Amino acid sequence: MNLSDFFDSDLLTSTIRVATPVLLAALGGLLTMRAGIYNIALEGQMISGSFAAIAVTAWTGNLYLGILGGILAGTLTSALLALAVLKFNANDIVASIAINLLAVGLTGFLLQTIFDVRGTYRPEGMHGLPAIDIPWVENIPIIGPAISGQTLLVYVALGLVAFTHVLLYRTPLGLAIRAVGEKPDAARTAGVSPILVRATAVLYSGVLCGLAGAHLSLGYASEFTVGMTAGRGFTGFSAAIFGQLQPWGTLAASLVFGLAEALGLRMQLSDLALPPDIVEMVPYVLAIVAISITCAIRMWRLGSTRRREVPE
Amino acid sequence: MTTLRVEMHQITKRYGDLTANDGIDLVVEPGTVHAIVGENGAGKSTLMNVLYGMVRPDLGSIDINGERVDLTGPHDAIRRGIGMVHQHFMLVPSLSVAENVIIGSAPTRGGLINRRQAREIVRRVSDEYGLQIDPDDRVGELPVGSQQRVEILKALYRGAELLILDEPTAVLTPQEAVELGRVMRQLTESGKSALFISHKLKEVMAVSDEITVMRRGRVTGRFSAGETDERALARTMVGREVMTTVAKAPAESGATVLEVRDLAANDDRGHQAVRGVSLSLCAGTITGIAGVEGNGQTELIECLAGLRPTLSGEVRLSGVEITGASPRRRRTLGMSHIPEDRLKRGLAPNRSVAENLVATTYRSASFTRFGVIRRAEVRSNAEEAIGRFGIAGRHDQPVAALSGGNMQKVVVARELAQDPDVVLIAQPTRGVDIGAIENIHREIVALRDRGAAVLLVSAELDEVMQLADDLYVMYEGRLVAQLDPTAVHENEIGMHMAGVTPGRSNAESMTGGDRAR
Repeated sequence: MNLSDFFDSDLLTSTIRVATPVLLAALGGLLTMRAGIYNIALEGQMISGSFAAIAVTAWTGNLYLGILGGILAGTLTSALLALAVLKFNANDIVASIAINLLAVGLTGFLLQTIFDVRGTYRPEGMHGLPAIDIPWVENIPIIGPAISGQTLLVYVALGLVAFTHVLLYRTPLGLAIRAVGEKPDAARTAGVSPILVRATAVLYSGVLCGLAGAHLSLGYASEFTVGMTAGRGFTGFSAAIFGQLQPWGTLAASLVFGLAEALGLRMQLSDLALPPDIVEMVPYVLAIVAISITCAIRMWRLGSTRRREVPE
Repeated sequence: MTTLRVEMHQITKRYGDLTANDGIDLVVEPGTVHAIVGENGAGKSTLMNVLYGMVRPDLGSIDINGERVDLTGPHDAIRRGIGMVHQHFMLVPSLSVAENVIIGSAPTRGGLINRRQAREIVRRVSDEYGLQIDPDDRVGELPVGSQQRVEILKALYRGAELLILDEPTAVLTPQEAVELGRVMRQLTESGKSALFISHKLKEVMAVSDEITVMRRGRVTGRFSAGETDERALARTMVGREVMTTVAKAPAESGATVLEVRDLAANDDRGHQAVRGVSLSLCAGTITGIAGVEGNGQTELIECLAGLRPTLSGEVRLSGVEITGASPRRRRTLGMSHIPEDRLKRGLAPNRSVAENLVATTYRSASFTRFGVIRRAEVRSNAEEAIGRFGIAGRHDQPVAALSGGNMQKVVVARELAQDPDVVLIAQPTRGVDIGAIENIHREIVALRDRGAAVLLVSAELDEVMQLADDLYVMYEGRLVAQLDPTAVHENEIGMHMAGVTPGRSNAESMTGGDRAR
C-alpha cells in the first residue's frame, strides 16, 4: 500500500462529514461553558436527537420534518438539564451524567416498544439526506470536492460557526453570556438574570445537539442504532475546550478530531490488519493528547512568568 | 432632568436573632452627599441593599419622590434611578470598559451591539464627570481607582440619579479618594445625590452634607457636616471614646533580621515594578513604606514573601539567603505575611475560621498527629484567637460569612500567632472599622515590642506615620526617600510620593536620581 491511498480528497470529504456532529455539539458546549455551566450532557442530547429524527422521518416520510424532530428532542433533553441545574440547583456534572444515562436507556427502550426492533432500526424505503453540489465550489482544487457534495446539515454546521461567533461577541445576549460565565454577580447587579442567560445557552446547545443527532441518523443513510453517538458528544466537549471556547478554534479542533476518525475509518476499510477496537480508540487517544498539550502549553506559559530567573 | 428624593421609613430587617436594621429612617435630598457611618456589622450594608432592592425589608417602606415603591430587585431600583457601586466591584475583568458598562442594556443596531455608540456613550459620560476612562481598556488591567470610576460610569449610564457607594474609599489611595470626592461633588452639582457608606471619618467630613451614624442596627446620630467633628462622630459610632493615636514607646532597635539588596521584580504584566530596592529591617523596629499605590509596594512585599519571582538582587533572613526560597521555607525561618488582599491571598473564604487560623501551621505536631488533623486542638486554638482578637464569629463559621474587618482579624491572628521574627504587613486596616483598627495597631506595636522586625506598607499615610519608626517613600519601584516619621511633615512625604524631590533633599541618592520609567 502507499500513502496516497490514505490521503486524498475523499479523506477530506469524510473528515468534514464525521467532524460535523462533533462540531455541532462543541459549538453548543462552548456556549454553555461560556455561560458557566459544564454541560457534558451533549452526548445525551445528541442521541435523543438521533432517535427523534429517525422516528419522525419514519412516521412522516419527510427527512426535513425528521430534522425538526431531532432539534425538538435535543432541546427538550437540554431543557431537562436546565431545569435540574438552574431550577433545582443540581450539580451540572452530576445532572449531565444522569441525563446521558437516561437518554441512552430511553432511546433503546422506545426503539423496542415503538418500532419493535433491537439494536438497529432502518425505516423501509428511506434514504439519507441528499448531497448538495455547490456549482463553483466543487471546482476549487483539493478542498472543493470535499466541501461541495455534503448534506444540508454539514453546511448548517459550518454556518453555525460564524453564527455562534457573532452571537457570542457581537450581540447583547453574547455579552451577557460572557459576563454571566465569568462573574455572575456582576451580571446580576447590572440587571441581567444569570438563570435566563444560562437557560438560553443550555437550550442553544440542545438545538445544536439535536442537529448533530439528526446528522448521525439521517446524514448518511436513514437508520438509528442504539448508542450510535458513540462518544461524539464527549468528543465535542473536548473539542470546545481544545478550541479555547472560541467558535473558530472549536471548528479547527473538531476538524482535527474528524480527521482522526476519518483516518480510523479508512484504516478499517484498508487491508491493514489492525483490530477495529484499536482503530476506534484513535479519536479518544487524540482527545487526551490534544487536551494534555493545550494544558501543558498553558502551564508552561504560566510557569515561565513565575519561574525565578537567575540573578545576574 | 428628574431629581430623586428618597425616603426610607422604619426599615427593619432581621436575620434570625440578629436585627440588622431596627426601624431606620433616612431621607436623601437631591443634590446632596449623604454619608452613613458605622462600624462593621452596624447594618449599613443591609440598609443599602434594601434601597437597591437586593434585600426585602421585614417592615418599613420606601418613598421615591413621594410615591411609595416596592423594590423587587436591582433591576427595579435601576429603573427608578438608583445606582450602586459595590465595595467588591461588580465588573467582569476580561471584558472592556465599554462592554462592562453596557451589560444588560446594550445599544443595538439590527440585533447586534452598536459598539461605536457604546464607546461614544462611555466617552461622553466620562468627559461630563471628568472620570478619565478609555472605553477600550480591559477592566482587569485597570488600577482599582479607575475600576471604581467604571462602576460609577455604569450606574450613570443606567440613568442613576442617586448613587449608593458602599465603602468606596476602602480600596483607594488618598489621592484617588480625593478624586472620588471631586466626582461626587460634580454629581451633586448636576442635581444627583450620593449616599455613601464609610468609616473613614476624615473623608466623611470632607465630602458629605449630611451624616447618619449607625450602631448595632439603629441610627445613633444625625449630623450636618458643618456642626460636628471627627471625634464626636467616632464616639457616636463606637459608643465610647476612641483612641485615634497609637501609644507606643520609642523603638529599641536590635540586630538586622532581614536584609534586602538591590531587589528587582516584575508586575503581573511583565513590566519591571521593583527597581533595585535595598532595605534592612531590624528587630524591634517598624519600617514603614509610604507611597501611592501601584508604585511597586505590592510587588515588593510579594517578592519578599516568596510569592513573586525575583529578577535580581538578594534577600537574607537572619543571615540565610532566601532569595528564591518557597513561602513555606520562609515561614519556617520565621517570616510571616499579612497580605493586602485577604480574600485572594490571605484566606480560604469557604473554609471555617478555625481551619483558616491553622492554614500555615496545620502540619506542625500541635495540630497533626499521625497525619490526621487534631480537631480539638484546632478548635481550641480558634477559640483562643477569637477571644484575643475579638473576632465576631464562631470557630466553625466559614470565613466568607464574616465582615471585612473580622476577616482581617483572622489573618492577623494567624500571622502573629507564631511569634515571627519578620512580619510583612500590607494594608492591614483596609476596609476595617475604627474599633478594630485600634486593636490591629496595638497588635503591630506589641509585635515590635516583642522584638520582631516589621515591614509595613500602607496607602494610609496617617497609619504609616503613626506606626513606623523608620519611614521610606516608594515611587516608581524605588525607595526615593528615607525619613524620620516623628520629624517629617505630611506635605513633604506627599511630595516624595508624587515623585517631586523637595528643596532639601534627604533621599540620600538611593535611587541614582533616575526616575524615568
